[in-house]
Amino acid sequence: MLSLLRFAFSIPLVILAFSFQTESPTYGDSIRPILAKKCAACHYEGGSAPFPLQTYAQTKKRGDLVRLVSLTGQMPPTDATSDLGELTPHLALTPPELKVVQDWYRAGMPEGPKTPEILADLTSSGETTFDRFVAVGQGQSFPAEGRWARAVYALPSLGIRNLSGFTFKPLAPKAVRQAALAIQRKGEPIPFTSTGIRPGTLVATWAPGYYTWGASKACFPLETGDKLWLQVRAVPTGKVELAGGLIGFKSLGAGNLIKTKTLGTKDISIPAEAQIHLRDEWTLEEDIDLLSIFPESRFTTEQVRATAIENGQEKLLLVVLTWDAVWPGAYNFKNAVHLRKGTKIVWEALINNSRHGHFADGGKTKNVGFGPYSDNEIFWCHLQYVSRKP
Amino acid sequence: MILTSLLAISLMTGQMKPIPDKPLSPIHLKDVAGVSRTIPGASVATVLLFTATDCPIANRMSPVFGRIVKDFSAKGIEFIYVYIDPTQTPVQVAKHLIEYKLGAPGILDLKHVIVKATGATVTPEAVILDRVGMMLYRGRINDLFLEHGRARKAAIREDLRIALKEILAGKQVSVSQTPALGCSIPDFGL
Repeated sequence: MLSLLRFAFSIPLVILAFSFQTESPTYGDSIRPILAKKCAACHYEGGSAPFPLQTYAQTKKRGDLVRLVSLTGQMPPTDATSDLGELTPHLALTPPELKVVQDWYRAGMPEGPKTPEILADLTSSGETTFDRFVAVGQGQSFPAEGRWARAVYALPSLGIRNLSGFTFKPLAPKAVRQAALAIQRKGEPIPFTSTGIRPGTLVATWAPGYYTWGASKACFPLETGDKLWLQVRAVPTGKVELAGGLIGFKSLGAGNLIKTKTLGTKDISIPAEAQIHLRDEWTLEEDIDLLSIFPESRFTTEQVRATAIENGQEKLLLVVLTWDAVWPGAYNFKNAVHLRKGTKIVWEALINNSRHGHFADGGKTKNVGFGPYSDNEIFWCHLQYVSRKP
Repeated sequence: MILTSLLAISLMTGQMKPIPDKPLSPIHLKDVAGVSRTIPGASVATVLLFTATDCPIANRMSPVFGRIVKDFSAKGIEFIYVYIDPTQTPVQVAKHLIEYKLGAPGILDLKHVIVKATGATVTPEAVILDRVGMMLYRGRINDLFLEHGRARKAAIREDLRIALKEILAGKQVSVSQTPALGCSIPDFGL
């Protein structure tokens, strides 16, 4: 009897041991491909991330942090999704990828087969194909501490008629989180204000590891007398960092002309401790192909969402589950999203001004209104699209 | 349910190892400039600031470090930065001390002698020793970071400053241990 019991117990143990052994992922087989696909655009030597993740040794050294920030969804730094098309780049880890990271960490981070260093993915932004570079902000700097820093530059005339691509190479890649290009048409005011980008003036955005628009055959028309401006946003790194950098431009002979529509309002009043949602909408007067969505919100915003309503049917255009006021660029669709005339686009921000809000200090909160300071709020959404011929 | 709560409690206490109740044996090491240092030093208190050249949370704390070093060095407190990454070189550390205006000497803890003796687990983290080596404080510098990637507008409690003021006033440190948040110190196979 006793031997029978022992036998009964021994079988599952053997199976368990066997399955653990075969399922332990290794760096070479399972982790390296995830890093190359989802992390390499920023985590390379001299890149925008604080440290490289190009070799086994570098990854093992950070294994604890890699596991933690993956599981909590903090890295890769996007949790945006859409019902209507793939966003580029879609970096968020999938549930099977998360499980692999967790299993690998638990198994003691085995190396597995020897693999070469992951190469920095510098071609993803089309950097090699940019045909004009302009330097800005030389000799200027960002402060060592604070919540964020912002710099605005007027650009010299480019002599480009149809702008079809834009990239930015900051002098301080570890500090700069976002660059935006906007246009000042003849006789109009400067497009960048301390309360966001002036409605209808956004041209393009860049963020570390993000693609800029330029993949489609669309372009932004520039006329004589138009002036381009660049806004750069940075987070402090603990030391004074060089501002400025190199802007790359690509031009196109002809293409579908990009238009910009801004949703939002200055009429914001958020009472202390309140959790509310702000809303604005736009009904399409023609068929469009939507290229990108660029939200502008600050520190009481927790989530942003764009919905398309056509014949009473709601579809989620974009939802950013954990809003980060300092990080994102535009959310670009891999393939433009066709929306029909009469479709209503609703833009919403979920606001949490309570002491439990994401960026709250845990103390009593104050009333928050529209304004230029970081503890004011703004509520804008810039949509870029091309008209579609019926 | 009870099991889960017990587990949660043991995990929490697991993160906060009690501070040693016996004095640390003196440690003799050279700083990156080649000067011999003894930990603890001869002053009323020696502060060890654990850091790494490539930890963004520790780096972002540099201006705070710089101000604390300036304010309390003048009152006779000794500061030493402990760099925990043995893959770095003394030249890289020396450059980092200047770039981030840290204002005190730095030791590259190649064999984790200081890390192991003090029980430091992350960068940035501070340890205060009295002149016989008794640990008076171990933990965060302040509560600027709520979690990874989430910083307050400004810190509410300046833990290290408070502890140092209490020591200078001849009082017992009221909160001798706080949870530090930052980049885990890997064991580097040491």
